[in-house]
Amino acid sequence: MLKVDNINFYYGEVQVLKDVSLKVEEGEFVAIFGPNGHGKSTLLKVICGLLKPVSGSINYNDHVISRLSTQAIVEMGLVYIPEDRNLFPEMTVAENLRMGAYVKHARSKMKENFELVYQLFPKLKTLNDRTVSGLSGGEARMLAIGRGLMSSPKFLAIDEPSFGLAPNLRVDVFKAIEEIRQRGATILLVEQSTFIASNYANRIYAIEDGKIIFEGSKEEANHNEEIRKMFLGI
Amino acid sequence: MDLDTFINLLLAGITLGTVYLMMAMGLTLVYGVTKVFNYAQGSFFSWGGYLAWYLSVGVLGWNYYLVIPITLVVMFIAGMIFEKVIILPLRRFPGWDFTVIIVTLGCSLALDNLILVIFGPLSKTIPHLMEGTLKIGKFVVAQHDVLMLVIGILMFIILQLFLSKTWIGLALRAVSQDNVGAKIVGLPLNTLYSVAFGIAGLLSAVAAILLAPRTLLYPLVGWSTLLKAFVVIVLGGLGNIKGTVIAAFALSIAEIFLSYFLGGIWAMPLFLAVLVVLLVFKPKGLFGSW
Amino acid sequence: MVNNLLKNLSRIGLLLLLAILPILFHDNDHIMNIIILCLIWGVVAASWDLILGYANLFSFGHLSFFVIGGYASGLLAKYIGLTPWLGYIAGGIAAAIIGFLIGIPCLRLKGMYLAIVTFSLNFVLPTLIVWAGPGKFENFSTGGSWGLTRIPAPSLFGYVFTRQELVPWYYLSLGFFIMFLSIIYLIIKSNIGLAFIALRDAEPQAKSLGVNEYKYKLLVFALSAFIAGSAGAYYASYFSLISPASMNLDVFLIVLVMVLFGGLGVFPGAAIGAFIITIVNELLRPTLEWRLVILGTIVILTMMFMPKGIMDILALLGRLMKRILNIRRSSKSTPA
Repeated sequence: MLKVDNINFYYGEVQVLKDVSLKVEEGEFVAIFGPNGHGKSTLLKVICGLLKPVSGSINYNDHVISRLSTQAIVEMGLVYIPEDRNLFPEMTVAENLRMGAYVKHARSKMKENFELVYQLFPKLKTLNDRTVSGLSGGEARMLAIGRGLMSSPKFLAIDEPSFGLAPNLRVDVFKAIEEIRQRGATILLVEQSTFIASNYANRIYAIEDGKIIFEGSKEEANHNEEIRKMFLGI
Repeated sequence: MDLDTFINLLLAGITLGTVYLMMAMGLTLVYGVTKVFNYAQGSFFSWGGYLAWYLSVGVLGWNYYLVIPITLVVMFIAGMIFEKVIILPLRRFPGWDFTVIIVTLGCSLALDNLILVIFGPLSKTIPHLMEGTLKIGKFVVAQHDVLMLVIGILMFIILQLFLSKTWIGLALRAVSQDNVGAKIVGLPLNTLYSVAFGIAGLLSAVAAILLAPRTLLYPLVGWSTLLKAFVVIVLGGLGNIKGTVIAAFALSIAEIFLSYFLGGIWAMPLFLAVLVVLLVFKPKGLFGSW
Repeated sequence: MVNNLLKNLSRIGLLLLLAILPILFHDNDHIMNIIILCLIWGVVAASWDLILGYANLFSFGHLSFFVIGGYASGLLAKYIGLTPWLGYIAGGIAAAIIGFLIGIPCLRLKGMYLAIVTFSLNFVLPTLIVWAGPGKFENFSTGGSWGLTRIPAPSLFGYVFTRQELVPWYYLSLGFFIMFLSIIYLIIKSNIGLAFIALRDAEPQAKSLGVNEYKYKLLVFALSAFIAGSAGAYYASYFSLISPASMNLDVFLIVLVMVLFGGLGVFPGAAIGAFIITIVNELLRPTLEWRLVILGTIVILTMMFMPKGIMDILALLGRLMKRILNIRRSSKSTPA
């Protein structure tokens, strides 16, 4: 479904992504692990079109999307959920969710999607008319994921969904993501702490210093001494 | 000062406030959405006024109530074209925040002088929305003044509804609050930028149609309104709607009374002094901002 | 080495050309007048560029300093009898003081705010000058909208400069021009100037000179106001007139075009821009009202397509020359 080929990206002089390639099949749950500042977030931003790669190409459903605008990519059903959330601070929770449904194919499904979001995150329903600036970190995280779901994604690229959350909330968030996958979406997420995500992921990539250093199933990762030490913390 | 004069001055101040409010809302919306401070908005004001004059009493002689909607639509489209042709290409420049200040300034000087070329230096006048007066108790007020107030409030309410109920209105707010977030949910940024300028063009035309019967039209007419609207948005806090409304009326009433007691030329210097002091000590305005 | 030599030679050549210009045009008052104007506006534009292009301050009220200098020296000369020579200094000092006072609060403002506040001066100052006209201050009247007239011209060793003989005026203006451009050059090459350049070209993360930045900016702001004020005083004594019309938006527009067309922050670009635009402005006179529309359009096009002004044109010409030379060379080297 998504095929990333030899992506290179620079911030100024610094090369952040080095020949990164990866593949995600339809219906998969793929996790990318890596330490902070090693290019994980940049990779997702390049995939969703916020940043343009210097070289390499990205294929999504047999379309080259590496030169498209984020708007066009969202309209094709590839939706990015950023780590720093980028919510609209002076708008209410309901208005933020509604903005998620702005693109054409999502507007017609707005009602169902509202119900889905409220079912996954019942808390959001009670906060409907609050502005975002008054939400807690966990609530804002749920809203960011909820807003992404409002776009009727076929493919979700999620940046550190559990970052900064209390442990019980982390589990909730991952359960919700798994539920989304079972409803037919494909998931690609990046995480720093592998602890929970590795329970859900079908396949795992590890990224270090802008390079993919490992690719395989969870079992293979468990058997790889180095990876286990580095990321799984076992 | 007797009560009659006082009421008259107050009314003049309040009606002037609606004009400042229109201009201030245009500036704020454009700044919030596109991060451009549009020096050319004073020219939008002038062009709106001259267009209404040209279509009605000036040359073509059309019915004024037909001319008004046409003027508004034309100025909306003109605003959008302005953004597409002038502002959008500048976005790829590295130091574009500086470039865009100079370019909108240059545009406004070119547009004002184009008025001079086309319409000449003599001042023009456009009709009142309604001639005649209204008697309220023992006070006599011009119907145009009443309409200024009504239309000003109406436009304000319509704009607020537009920004909180419609898809495009909400999207405009979303872009001004988080540009990256707006990209992520797939908002059409380039369209929204143009729409913001279009609305500013429309609001400027409304302001001109309301104010010009009182002040006449001349090529540089837009500047004083623009500069005062600027003081309004800074005083009210950039992006703070409640603050902007209060500031618009407070300043306009202050201006009218100041002019009455001290003479008209002191309004602008005093506003500037207030503005500078305020900017130094309370950079976010009296009412905070987004 | 060779490059430096060439540069110095071309500078000397330029000075020689400026020195012998009157031989060509001494009997044409119209052209002499335009050249003198070029020199005066060259000083004004270069001093504005000091703020706009080097200190990176969006100050759009520079002509107020020019006008304040003109009025200060004119009033002092007319009502107190100060000689014009001292008037040039007094005009500069008056402008510097006002510039300093305006700068204290304004230079703390963010770019956009500074721009609008200083730009507003173009509207405020003229109304105040007109207000302080006949009947207001008996001994110090500004002359209202007509302006201050009959401002005396300077005299030197018994010779009194007059508008009937422009060649002496020309040499005086040239001296004035060279003196102030040297001062501006020294400011740019001073530690403060170099610090400004470093600041302007620095990466975003290094955008601060620390505590002294504000002081430096204030100092340069006042210095540049001094130069503009002195130029205003000189202008007033040359035309024996200074009026609020010198602050009309069209004058503002013309000087803005000079600085932008000459190139922001590329000394002596602004002065070169002043020469070109003063002449272009004269050539455009037959287009009547279109002149200002054209100048406004030049502002827009310059910013859009040649942000470095004349330097971009020179670079373009250079590339074109190279390509032509290359074509020649390659056509020679390929056998027919």
